[in-house]
Amino acid sequence: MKKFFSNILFGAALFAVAACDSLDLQPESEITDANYWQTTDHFSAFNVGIHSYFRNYSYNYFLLGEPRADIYGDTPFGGEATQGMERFPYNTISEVQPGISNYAGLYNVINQCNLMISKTTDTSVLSDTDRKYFLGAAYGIRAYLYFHLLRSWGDAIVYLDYTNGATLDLSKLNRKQDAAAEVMVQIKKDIQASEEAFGTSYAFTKGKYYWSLGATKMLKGEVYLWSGKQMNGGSSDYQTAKAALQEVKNCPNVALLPDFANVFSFNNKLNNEIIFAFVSNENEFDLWNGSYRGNLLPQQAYMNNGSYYDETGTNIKETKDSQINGLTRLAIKKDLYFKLYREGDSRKAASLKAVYNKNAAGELVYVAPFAYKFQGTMLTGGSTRSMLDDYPIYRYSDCLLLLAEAKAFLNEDITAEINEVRKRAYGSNYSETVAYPNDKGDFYTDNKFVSGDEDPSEAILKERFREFLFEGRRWYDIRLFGLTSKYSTASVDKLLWPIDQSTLTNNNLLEQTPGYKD
Amino acid sequence: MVKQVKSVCTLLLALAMSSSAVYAADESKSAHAQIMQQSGTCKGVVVDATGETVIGASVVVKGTTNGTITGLDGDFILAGVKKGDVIQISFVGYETQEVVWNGTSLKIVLHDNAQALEEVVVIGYGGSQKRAALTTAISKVDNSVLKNSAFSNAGQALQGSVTGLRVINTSGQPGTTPNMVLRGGATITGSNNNALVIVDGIVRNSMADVNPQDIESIQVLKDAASTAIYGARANGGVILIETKSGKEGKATVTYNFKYGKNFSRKGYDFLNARDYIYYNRLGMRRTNEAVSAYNSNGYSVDGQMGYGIGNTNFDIRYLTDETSHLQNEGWSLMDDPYHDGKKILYKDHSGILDDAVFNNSAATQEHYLNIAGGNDKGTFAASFGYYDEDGQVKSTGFRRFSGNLAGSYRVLPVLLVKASANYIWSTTPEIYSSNYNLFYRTRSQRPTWNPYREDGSPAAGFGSADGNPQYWISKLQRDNSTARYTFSTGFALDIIKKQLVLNGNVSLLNYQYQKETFNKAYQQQNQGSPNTTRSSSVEIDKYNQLQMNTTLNYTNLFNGVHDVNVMLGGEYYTYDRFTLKGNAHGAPTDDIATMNVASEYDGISTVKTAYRILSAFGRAEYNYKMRYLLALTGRYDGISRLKDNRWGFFPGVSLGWNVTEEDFWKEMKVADVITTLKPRVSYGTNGNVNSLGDYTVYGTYGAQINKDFKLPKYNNATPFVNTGLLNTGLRWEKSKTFEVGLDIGLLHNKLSFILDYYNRETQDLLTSLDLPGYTGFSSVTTNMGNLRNSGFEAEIRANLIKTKDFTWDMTANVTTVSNKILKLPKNSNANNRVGGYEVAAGQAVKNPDGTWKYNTKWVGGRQEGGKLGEIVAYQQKRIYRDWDDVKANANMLYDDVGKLYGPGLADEYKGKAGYKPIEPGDVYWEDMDGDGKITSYDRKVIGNIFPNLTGGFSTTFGYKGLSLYARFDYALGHTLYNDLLARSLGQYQGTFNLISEVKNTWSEANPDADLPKFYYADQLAKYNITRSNNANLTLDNNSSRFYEKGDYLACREITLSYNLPKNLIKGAFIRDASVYVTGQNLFYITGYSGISPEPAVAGTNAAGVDDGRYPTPRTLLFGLSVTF
Repeated sequence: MKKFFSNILFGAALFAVAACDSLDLQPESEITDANYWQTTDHFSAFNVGIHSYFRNYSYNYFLLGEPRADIYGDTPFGGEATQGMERFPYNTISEVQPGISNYAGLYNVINQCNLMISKTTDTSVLSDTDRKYFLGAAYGIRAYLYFHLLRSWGDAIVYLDYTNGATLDLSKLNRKQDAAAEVMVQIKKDIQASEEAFGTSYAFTKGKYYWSLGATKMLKGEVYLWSGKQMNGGSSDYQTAKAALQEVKNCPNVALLPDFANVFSFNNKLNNEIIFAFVSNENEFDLWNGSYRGNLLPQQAYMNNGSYYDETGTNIKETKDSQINGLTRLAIKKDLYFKLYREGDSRKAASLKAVYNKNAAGELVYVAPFAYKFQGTMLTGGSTRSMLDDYPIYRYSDCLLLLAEAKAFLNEDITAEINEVRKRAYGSNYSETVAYPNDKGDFYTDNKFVSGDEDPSEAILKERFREFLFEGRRWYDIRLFGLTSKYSTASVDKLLWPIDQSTLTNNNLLEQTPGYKD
Repeated sequence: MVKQVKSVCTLLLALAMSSSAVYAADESKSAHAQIMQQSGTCKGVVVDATGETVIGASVVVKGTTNGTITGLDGDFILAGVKKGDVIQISFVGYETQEVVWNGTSLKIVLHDNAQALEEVVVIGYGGSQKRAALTTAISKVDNSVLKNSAFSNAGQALQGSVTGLRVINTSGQPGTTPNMVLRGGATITGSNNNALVIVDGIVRNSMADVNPQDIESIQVLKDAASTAIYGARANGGVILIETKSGKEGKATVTYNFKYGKNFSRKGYDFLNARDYIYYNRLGMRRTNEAVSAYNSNGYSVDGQMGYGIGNTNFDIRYLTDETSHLQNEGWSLMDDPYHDGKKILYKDHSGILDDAVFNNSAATQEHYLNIAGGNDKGTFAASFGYYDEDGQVKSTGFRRFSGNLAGSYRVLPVLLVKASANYIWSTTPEIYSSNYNLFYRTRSQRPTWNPYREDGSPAAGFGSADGNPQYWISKLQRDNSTARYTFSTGFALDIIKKQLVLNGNVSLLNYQYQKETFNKAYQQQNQGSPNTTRSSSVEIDKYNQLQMNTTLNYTNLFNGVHDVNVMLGGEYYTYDRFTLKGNAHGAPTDDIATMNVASEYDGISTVKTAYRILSAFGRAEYNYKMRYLLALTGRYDGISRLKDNRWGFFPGVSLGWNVTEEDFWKEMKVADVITTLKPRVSYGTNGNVNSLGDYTVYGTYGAQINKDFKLPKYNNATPFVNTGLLNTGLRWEKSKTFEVGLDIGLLHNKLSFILDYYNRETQDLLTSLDLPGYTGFSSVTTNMGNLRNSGFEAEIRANLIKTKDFTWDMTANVTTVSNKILKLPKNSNANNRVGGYEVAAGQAVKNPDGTWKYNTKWVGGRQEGGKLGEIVAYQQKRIYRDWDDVKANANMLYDDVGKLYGPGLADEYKGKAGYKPIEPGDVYWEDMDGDGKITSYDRKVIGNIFPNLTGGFSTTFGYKGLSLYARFDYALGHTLYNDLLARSLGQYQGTFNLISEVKNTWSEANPDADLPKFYYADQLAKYNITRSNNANLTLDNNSSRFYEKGDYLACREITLSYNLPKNLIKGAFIRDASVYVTGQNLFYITGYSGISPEPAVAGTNAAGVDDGRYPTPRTLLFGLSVTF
């Protein structure tokens, strides 16, 4: 009987060990809601998290800002299938084939910003300096994201709370879009909040890979130009934009680099021209998360098969470009190579590269251009180029040309800004004939991409086209100036983006973007 | 130290004495009785029901080691037997008999115990019941499925063998665990619904954890009343496996040997070089003609790899003065279908790559040795197994070593202790590439490319999936191994002999998985320099699972009529997992694959997770004279994965009535025909939280956004965001099963039926609700779904013929499943729909102003009242024969999906970028709403990925020592998207080789084809195949033509075996010997044109999509089994 009791005791002990509280396990490799937001480290890591999430959509910022304009749309010279990418330059996107779904994922970042703002505002663990930086960055990034939503979808939900599992009411999740005007109001509020948080601290506290007051000022310039031109804000908005852009000069170590190509050089990251950029690193992030390589670069099979030459007649197989390994899905228009840049403009060689065949007589025959702005690097032991270039979001020449826009809209003289950019671009080839307002004439007859300096708007648009190829600007630029009919295939009722079916399904109060309804 | 040991011994001795004292009186009484009797010699003969003598039957005086086996005439002589002793006679396949010896010669007739209704069924936690007393739905697997075939995974044996269990081979890669889902699954996601596998009481990850040869029995607990004893984790049913253990009697040594050859199934035939060039260049010409109105350059025909001309990696040239000499060097000449008048020289390398990929006949071999025995004090069993199967794809395969040791010993008359240890190690040699890549991509390599270099060495090609696997196998090393250990100890203490027993068990399972990769230096043919990155990776995944349980069993028969059996127990379960992953690169040489010589370390990560379950459970069974049966089961479970509602109670109740035990029945004439008739009914509840991560309800912060996406570091700093919503209110999902069953036995159970109807409603389903995108989360898990699965199951077993020499048995089973979503999280869509597509619900009506009024409905996705697994696609009516047909039926048609226009709309669309004309050979789409346009409304449900009828049958013919066994299974009602067919005929990739079906596509010469005209890149041409799916590997939105019914009947096994005559082998001390030949997975009878018609329930890319799967091989085995 003793044995019996000892067994009963054993059994009882077993359950005593396994008492109910043993089911309260503390995770060892994760941190849960109950334990987060307790230290400065938590906030710092979250700030890193927001930036990583923000960078994750860098390809989408490009897609929203560029391919629907007049740059792409030819068939890839290597013969790749364009896999739906042709819908952007053709402007045949629709609800069924929207090109971009779920508002480009931007709300994922917005929600994290909302959470950061809420927790940073409420916490007592942060120093005043930290709190101000975190708030300034979170408000700035949120405004940047809403500005994409506004320009691309017009009306958009303004969501400022963070999604909280404890209070989530599943029956009340559907929401209508807020009017574009309200989105703009919110963007301006966020910019103001960011400015207030940063105060006068123009320093790049955490480096140029992190949001800064300079970035907020750049954004403010863009935003007020848009609201002035597209949303009836008029000259007071232009004035605000102009003032903000002029303040960018307060940033330490921000200037034009003497050499355009150097701005994008892999070995010259974080140069003075950069105000804010997304970092790329080995084992971390490739440019546009690999999409730059996967859409804009030629296949290595072609670069290496011996039948293509560069402009000097050297077989590409023998050059470092044989290391390029990509897929061309957005094929740059063949005539753009000759029509965009003038002779002597250093930006041409730093943005585009042409491939040639040889004909029976051994003469070079032009085939097509490919993107050459970001050239990646060859890692030790590699056999193909790794596209580890940073992606600039704001750089100083953008500041100059936005400033030129503001001045143009205010009917002020834009010569100084435009020519500062041109001087750098042409370098020793700079002359009065390419200086504003003299750049016109034969080059611009029958040129469907760029126009002469007669119209200041066209001059700015031209300069921005030449300056910001592959930086996600052109589509927004031609929309700002209202020149989509001239510079794209888009019909005037479809300048915004359709909402995909699944997004409409998950929120049935959303209305399809005008122009895409049945 | 010595003192300590001594005192422990004393204590144990004291305990032993005190407990044995309880029974002292009992034992002295029987000892006294024995003295009174006289010993004698018992003689007898053992025969079976047909009068045939039974050779080798065991004859033992019960409770002693005194025993013998019957001789050639079924006779035995046993000395030292006293009158009144109980003689126990047993033989495999027969019911054990006990007779009291009264001093005379015995004639014992053994009865078959093969009949379904006589079998003993294990019901969990040490319990077992005769089928006759069973009130719930439990299937016992016929052991003959395990006997002859060679299985790398025991789950394969269950295909078609268990009523209600759908077993699907997901891959023919040896060692793959098949997908096993009971009654259509109880989760809405289609995942996390596998049955709980328990081997000898230990919860296992899958059936990969056991050597099929070690299996003594497999049972599947299906209804909630039976599975409730496993409570919270038993939603998907329970597979109970018992391994072989020693038995009282003479020791046996069994050796099994199998050797076989596997023959691969390759699927479609691919084109030779001439046809490859012809179709692709023709397709390119057609596509360029179609886009010529807005794209004057067209796509570059000679930019294409393989059939383009200019890339010297491919043996294709234009005929010129410089190239014409190639005609004398084995090259052939053909007309260029792209440029009229030009001629092309090419060299055909087709078929060569297949030999580099596939083993023409791969070998399988298996050795198994089992030693078992025991006496009245103890039993033991030891086994060792080795299994080696080469895959059909070279360098793939599966190898397994296993060892098992189990013993029990009656330490005291009232105390039995048990212990077992099991070790199983396996490796699954795999290649660098996925199945999809091999069976589609690698097989599709361009036949103008020579897979071998001039020196005969394999060529690298243009990537690891686009090259010769022989090259890549030597460069990209992949090694893995899995080791699983279990240790289990337990005891059974008779508190009241044969009435009250206390059991305790502790078991430990240790799992260790290790995977290493190393890429040697390599160079692709399209790269100018070698890649010497030499990257390596390591992954280690370990877990420890500890289970401790105690049960108390009480059994009694009151007044000889009230049979009561009660069990109470408790269990504590812990699971602790550790994973390590690391990456490095930069080794200076190919010679060392381990990371110690890497120059750069690219990251290392370790992760720990754990969960705990605490449970109390009980079971009570009662029957009155075996007539009225009642069983109650309940379990109370708590789990650490939940927070506010972590405890759940899971009860089950079942009733049965053995009509044939009633006196009134026995008097009826029909009693001779219907020998068993038992209606039964059961109801119970199970739970499941498998879909939850260990900590997800607690609201997580980190970088892992979801399963597939982890935020990368940002400039080398680690990011944290809110990755999971706080969700502590979640509960167990609960499935409630109502079941009615009927067991029927006819003619002394020569023919038996087990029939069941089940209705399982799963409530509080852990359903992920898609959140509006603005919330920043894609979904949240809720308890807001209900799903119903209902169906009918029937199992039939028949002993059709049984004569002295000839036997014929047959078993068959069938299961139907139909599911319906009853409730979904409220989201204010109609039917709380999630996902899905808006399509036409009948004809649109034209308004007076010319606009249309559409009548639409939502299909697909999930909605209340809907089904899981529906497929939505565009309906191909037929192919436009010629221009007259196009003009007659599509003149003013606008196809918004493909941006295509009829001839009458040319003025509006011609020349507009992206818009192409409708031409002969394009698909005539069904205009569902009749509005003259093809839009996304013109789709419909064209099938379901799940079968609705599954089952199997087997038959055994026996003639003397020969037996012929065959096993089949079938599934009906499922549809597969044949992506491989679509991808090839659509030339989505652009340059790959095509399957020979391209010859059946539309052409002027073949205007009645049902496959559209072949174009280069369908997704750039007419969308005749991919439609709005845009050439992605996804299930919906393609042309209906490429969805095929997967109905099949599979022949899993045919075995011819021969039992060597006893008198022949007796001299060699062999008790039993047999040899056999087995054919496994011999054929499918199916209309499906792809490689395997089995449902693609676990496709690598998407469920329902056949993307080029690794099919199961045909296997031919020779086997030998000897028992000493």
